[in-house]
Amino acid sequence: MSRQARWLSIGVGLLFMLSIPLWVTSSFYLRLVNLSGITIIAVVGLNFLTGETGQISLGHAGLMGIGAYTAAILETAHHWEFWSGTLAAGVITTAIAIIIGYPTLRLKGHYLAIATLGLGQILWLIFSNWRSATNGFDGIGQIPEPHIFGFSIANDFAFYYLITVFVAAFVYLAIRIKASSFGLAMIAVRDNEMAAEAMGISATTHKVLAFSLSGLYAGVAGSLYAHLFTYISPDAFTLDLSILFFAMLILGGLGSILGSMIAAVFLTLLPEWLRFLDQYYMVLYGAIIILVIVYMPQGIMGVLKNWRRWKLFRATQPSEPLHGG
Amino acid sequence: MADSILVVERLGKRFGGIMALDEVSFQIPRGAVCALIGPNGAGKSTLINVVTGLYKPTSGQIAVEGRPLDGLGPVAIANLGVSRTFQNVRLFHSLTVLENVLVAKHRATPARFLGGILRSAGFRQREATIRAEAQEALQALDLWEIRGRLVGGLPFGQRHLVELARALVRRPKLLLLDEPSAGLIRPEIVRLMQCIRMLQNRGIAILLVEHNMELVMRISEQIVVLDFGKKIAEGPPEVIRADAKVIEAYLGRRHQRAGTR
Amino acid sequence: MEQIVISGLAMGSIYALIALSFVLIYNAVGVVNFATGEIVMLGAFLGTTAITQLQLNPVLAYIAACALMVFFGYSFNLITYYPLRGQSFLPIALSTLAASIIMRNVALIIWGANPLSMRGVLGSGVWHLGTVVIVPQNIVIFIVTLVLLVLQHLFFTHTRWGRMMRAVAQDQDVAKLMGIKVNLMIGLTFAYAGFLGGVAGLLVAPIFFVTTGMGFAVAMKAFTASIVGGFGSIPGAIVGGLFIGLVEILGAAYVSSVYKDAFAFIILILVLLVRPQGFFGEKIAEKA
Repeated sequence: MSRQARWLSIGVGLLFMLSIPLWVTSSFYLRLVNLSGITIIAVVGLNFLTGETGQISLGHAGLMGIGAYTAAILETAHHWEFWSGTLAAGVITTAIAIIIGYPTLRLKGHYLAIATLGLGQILWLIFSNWRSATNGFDGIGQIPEPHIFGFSIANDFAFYYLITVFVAAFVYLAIRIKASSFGLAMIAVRDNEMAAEAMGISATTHKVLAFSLSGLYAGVAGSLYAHLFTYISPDAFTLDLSILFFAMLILGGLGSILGSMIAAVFLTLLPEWLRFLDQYYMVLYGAIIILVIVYMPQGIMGVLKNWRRWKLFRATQPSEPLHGG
Repeated sequence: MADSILVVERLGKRFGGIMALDEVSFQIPRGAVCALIGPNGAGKSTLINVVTGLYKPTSGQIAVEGRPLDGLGPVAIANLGVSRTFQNVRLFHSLTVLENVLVAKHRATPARFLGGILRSAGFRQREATIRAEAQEALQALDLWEIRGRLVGGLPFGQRHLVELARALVRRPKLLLLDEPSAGLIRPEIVRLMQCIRMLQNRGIAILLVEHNMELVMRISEQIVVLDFGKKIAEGPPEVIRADAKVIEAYLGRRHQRAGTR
Repeated sequence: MEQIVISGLAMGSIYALIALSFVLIYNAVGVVNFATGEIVMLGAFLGTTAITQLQLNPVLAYIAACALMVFFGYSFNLITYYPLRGQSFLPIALSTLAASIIMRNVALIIWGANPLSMRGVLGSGVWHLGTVVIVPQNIVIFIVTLVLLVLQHLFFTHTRWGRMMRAVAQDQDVAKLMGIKVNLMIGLTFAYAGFLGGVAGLLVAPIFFVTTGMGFAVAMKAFTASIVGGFGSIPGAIVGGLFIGLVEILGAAYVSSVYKDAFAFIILILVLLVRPQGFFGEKIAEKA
């Protein structure tokens, strides 16, 4: 695509994005759109760890919970406000990710999967049982609304623009990191850890870096989640959510930021579109995951890339068949 | 002694009941090409793996440029100026030829991390320098034309060359080549020899593990022979060629004929 | 005290069976089956339905349930693993996770959200041996597990099919070269793993309520058991299972019953940090 065409499409896309709240009239639907934005941040964060560095984490929802509870506790019990609460959420989740990451990321494949599963569960148990801090299953409510430059973000409409800013910033950050040598290094660690180390790239350092980034994104997403719903409880941060994030990554195409974004929006809105299926939705969802893995292992982006390649190939073929028929 | 880039002193490596390396000692002077030969299972790859930090020695000492390695890991040793290639070529299959070489120049510092995000002037200048070095390495090995291709689709001989470019771009002081000619056809082997000579001209010391005797005899200044983990001979090619122990252990009649060519 | 130990060992036997189901699949195809718990759940539901709702003769019910589980295990392979064989760890892990989601929700649709219960073969009363109170189901669990393990050992060591399955678990390529139908053996391994999970479900159903969520809890304990015992080790799975069962019940009795489920997780994390290879596991070094 030429440079002009690219800038034009970005511009149009941006205008479209900014106009969404104007024509999505149902506030329930707008709430879902906002949730997809938050999910985008969480999944793009997970992409550093699983998509690029190839490490599985089934505890991502737990990290998001840490962010949510940090912001919620600081703002309800200690009267912090949105920016400081969100900053704290990001910092603390990142710190915990580093602390958990160092010993855990030495483990490979299956061990890491089970360990992160266990960690996610331990976090859930803490959220549910540490009543003095988290109110246990009653959850934390009345999380105050954000105030930006004197405006209060009191409804989904306003929230949309707040989340768009966050999504833009964090996606941009992700694109920058991926394009830098750190992005290459993380992929190198995934592709061939031994060779990466022989080139001076420490596998542990980059795995922990990826994990910390995933923690940062999860923490911020958690805080945004808390402010969007103004109420959080342990049941929002379960293994099912971690699996959902993982599914979104695979559907979008491991390692692709754009793919993660598309899949995040799609799988957040799909349950609503298929609401008539009731309980059958979850069965369909599981089936979709397996079908995607088997028939579209590179995800959406893989299909798009192949489609483009196929079109290019077709363009180079002679228009008449060489042999009859 | 100060002139040696690599000093291996009474190196031993035991795996359970097996002594893969047993009291091996030798030195490589700066800028020299040294070949490590011996029958299969003699411990050649083990030695490379110990020198590059994949295994910890069970006894003995290794020093690079006078600095003892003392159980350092692969990353630290790589940062001392030691580069290597792998016998079963280990490239980063999701990356292109150029990216495989660029990533070898990566250093994980906070400054570089911030630089990558903010893209300051200093950062962009360093990027340009790195790209120039990568270009030079690729051009030297005739890989510049295919720099945008994913390494997965390349023919075997070219993949070896990409590995070499990747090790080379790090400007190593010591380069360890693990059976670089394995699986190459004759013209590729000729190219490999030219590459090694070119590297030598740049002052890079090379430790070459090889089975191809013709390559070894033509290119090395010094040969170390291992058998069952022990060093059984060391010296320049003419001496080794004629050494009875070596011939008996390994070379056999085939090489005696080749040696008189 | 004896009561607690017996209960602990009984639960431990169940964990051991589940861990075995899990380890056998791992050994055969190198895959972590995250749907292991749901297989147990399915066995429990099938048994409960057969006995409580269909009022079948208990012998018939158990046999039918086990047969169905064998069949299910084989189909599970066809859907979840076979199309993905040879791929890397991430897609296969997600595939089994998706399978667990499907199974849980299908169970929800078929059986609903209300917990079901089932009577054990020896009835629901308790026995008194002197001062010790024994839950008869625990005895059933011990006996069944023991018999099963002995039969399994004989099968794997003394029958041709058993040895073929072990060969596939050790080295697929060599097994193929020896003319063993590898894919069939893998399918049989899955079928047997399904059977084991089903038996575990049938054994545990009389003790706990049968719900769609029960799979996850027992699965986590089973994963922990196999890691504690040494990943991939069959005796390790058994020892690990008993160990977790005991630790859990002792922890609940003497430390805190609220955090009962947490003990297994804590042990999991500790073992992974300190000695990831567990009791019987081997460290695997990578060759350059």
